Amino acid sequence: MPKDTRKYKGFSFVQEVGGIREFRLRANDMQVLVMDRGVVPVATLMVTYRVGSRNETVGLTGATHFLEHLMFKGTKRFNKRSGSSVFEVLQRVGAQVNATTWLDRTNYYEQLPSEHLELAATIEADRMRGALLRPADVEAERTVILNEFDRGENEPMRKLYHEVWSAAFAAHPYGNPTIGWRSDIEGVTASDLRGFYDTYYHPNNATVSVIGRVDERKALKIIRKSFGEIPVSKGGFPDCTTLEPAQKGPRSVEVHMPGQVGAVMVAFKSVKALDPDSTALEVLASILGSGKTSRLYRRLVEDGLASGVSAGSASMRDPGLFYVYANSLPGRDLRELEEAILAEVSSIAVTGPTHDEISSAQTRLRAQAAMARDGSFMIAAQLNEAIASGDWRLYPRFLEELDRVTAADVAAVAERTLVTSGRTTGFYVPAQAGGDNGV
Amino acid sequence: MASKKHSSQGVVELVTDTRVGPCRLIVLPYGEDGVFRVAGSMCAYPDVAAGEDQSLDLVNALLDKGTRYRDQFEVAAILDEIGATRAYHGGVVRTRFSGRALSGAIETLFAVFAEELRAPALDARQVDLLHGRAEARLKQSLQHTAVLAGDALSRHWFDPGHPNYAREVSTDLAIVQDADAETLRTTHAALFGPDEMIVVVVGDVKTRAARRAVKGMFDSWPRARGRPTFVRDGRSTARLAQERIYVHDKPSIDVAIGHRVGIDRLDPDFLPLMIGSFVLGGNFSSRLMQKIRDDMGLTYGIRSGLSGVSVHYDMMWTVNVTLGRDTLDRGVEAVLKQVRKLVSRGITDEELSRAQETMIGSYLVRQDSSARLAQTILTNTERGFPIDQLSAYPRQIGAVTRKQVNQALKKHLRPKAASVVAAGTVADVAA
Repeated sequence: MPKDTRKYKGFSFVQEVGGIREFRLRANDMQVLVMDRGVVPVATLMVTYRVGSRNETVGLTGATHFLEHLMFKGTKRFNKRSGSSVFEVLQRVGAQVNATTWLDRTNYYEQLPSEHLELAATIEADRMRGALLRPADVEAERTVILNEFDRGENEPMRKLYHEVWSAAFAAHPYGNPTIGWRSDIEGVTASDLRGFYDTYYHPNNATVSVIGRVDERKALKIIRKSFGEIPVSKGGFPDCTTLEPAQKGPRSVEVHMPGQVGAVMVAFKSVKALDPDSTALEVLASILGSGKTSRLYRRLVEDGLASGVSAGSASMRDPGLFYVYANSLPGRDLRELEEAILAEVSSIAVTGPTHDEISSAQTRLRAQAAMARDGSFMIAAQLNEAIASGDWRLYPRFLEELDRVTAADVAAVAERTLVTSGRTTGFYVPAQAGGDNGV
Repeated sequence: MASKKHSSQGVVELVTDTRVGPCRLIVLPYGEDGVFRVAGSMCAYPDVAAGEDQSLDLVNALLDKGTRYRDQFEVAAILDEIGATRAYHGGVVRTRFSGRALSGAIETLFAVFAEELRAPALDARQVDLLHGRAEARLKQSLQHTAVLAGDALSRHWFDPGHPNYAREVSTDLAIVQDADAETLRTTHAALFGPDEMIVVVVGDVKTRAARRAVKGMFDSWPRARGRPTFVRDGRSTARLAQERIYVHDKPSIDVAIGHRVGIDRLDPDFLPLMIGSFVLGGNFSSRLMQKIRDDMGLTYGIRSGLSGVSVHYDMMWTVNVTLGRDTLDRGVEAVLKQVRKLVSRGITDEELSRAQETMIGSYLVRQDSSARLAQTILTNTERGFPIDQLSAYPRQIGAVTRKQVNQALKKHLRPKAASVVAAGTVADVAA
């Protein structure tokens, strides 16, 4: 056990990295992260459950997201009927309250004046095991979620994104949209959702992060008082064991929807967040698609092929995708845009980056990381993704890892990742007459 | 150089407000994260009726594409070196700029701002490339049903020339196609200058360093044309009561409901009306969210509020909601019923108290971000408010009474007059 002079009743201190201190609530093995920072008396409390659409099975896609909605429908203690719903109580003190669901996690958060931290903790602890999940609420919320689903169906770029992920992952659940398939949303029952809740919503499958102007001792006392009585889960937490089989050749999908300007997304199978290569992939993405000095900007935007371009690496718990995304210009051939992207991608995979490119990308990413610490919520949100990826320390250690990346590392990861056999290309083809010529 | 330290609560005590050359420089040393943010603006007053605001947008889009002294890649390399980004945004009154960088690089960032704002290259090749990008951006907006509905609603209530009138995309496309390097240089010469220039710096930076960085950068820059040209007055009845915009393959229908409100930000009815709109549809606890989403399950998202808010011209009250094709009519009627109820019966003491506490608390929460603080200080200053508006705002909200809210609702909200615009895969209706 690491040495720490501060002792807090009920907690074991685990470690401190980058100003973030990790504790374990001994009563139920819940992980707690605390960071005291900031100027104004504001804090963010975030609960991250290690369950996402990655944990869903056939027929139950969207269950994680559906459950996230139902978590706002009340408990015996906090409910709309008594005028004490989560939103009514928390928004009254000025809290920004919401929740999100993603591939590897579900998170609930409150950014609020520090003096109300206990209120947030009380509500989150209460609904960790006390959600009512009434069948009537499931029915009422089903239409809300279907409306949310339809809003997504309106957006061609969102459809393109989903289609590429679905084509790239034939076996792994990353191929399913987090909101689920429509028929699954229509068919899921209160009993299904109760089963999901009882399986995954337990303190030993959660991390509570408290970031902001807080006194560590007071914050931990509040956490112990709120969460300390919740029993540890008796069962385990079923994990996704499906491994995506090796891709044996390039794949291609098209989305035909109304519109006038097309887009291309080129994606490659990449590595999981905990892989030693993941930071080098971030550097590669920056060199390819971040800012005016990037290779793809010069090639696509300056040559009049695209109106904008970006590149990114989706770092997930399991291997995700490295992608390039470009918006076309009216009347341009999408194949020509694809070829230009592939030419740049091949070029860096063959020759690797220059030392100057590495140095610029590192400075850019260091600055972006510093800017992304603007406020307690932004820090908690990034920590949330690191927790979901499998190790919260990925967040505070990013700069250290970034400094270690060399041109040889990026060249090697580019050569391994940007390969034809692992490629999936998606085209958004505007379906309106008078628009793009299409593919 | 006149300087005064403002003494008020919280962060206001840290603010310095100084004149440096033609700029009003406001600095808030905040945090120790090794970064700072800049938000600035100056009056431009484009002729909105003539579409000059679109030309201003085009010039803004070219400011980071090279100067008379350096090409865009040289400038980008300088910014990369200091971990900086910057952006320029057009407007109907002011043109704005913003940026951020690692502490210690403030002089370099302001040198780039000054060079790009004062001496952009605006060369023919970049203008050609911009044509394609601007056309793409405008055509992409036609895919977004929320934009289509909101823009159409504005045209029901405002005349061309009013800043809240959203032109048809086809009109903007024609302006883009007509723009060449020469006309954009003329636009730049006419609309860019240090008129009422405000620069806000927030972050891990010393006031003295900020003054040094800004000093001399904007001196001797000729003033812009500098006079408002927009239309302030307008119609009190809508052009259409209902409009349906058919877009193929858009199952979610975006609906915008609302009307013009004949007051500006300085009107004493503004805060009471804002609170009343907030009770109606400001957050998850609001009446519309509770009724239309929670009870009836008709929508994922619904909100109500005042938009196009300015101290120079009047604004709009709107409800925005997404509905299914089958629930469109029922949803719209349910919304209007809630609005009628709000106007006829007003809000309760409990609702007022809850709204005030929410708004005051969330105002503090927003100050947790230096980027938001910089924007808030800039907006307050543009509106002519004193620096201590930062701490005065919660008191102003807290002082509003239920009587004031209910009178403002009765006076300014007219549910019978509201226009309803729906965009998506809907059946067309005759106006």
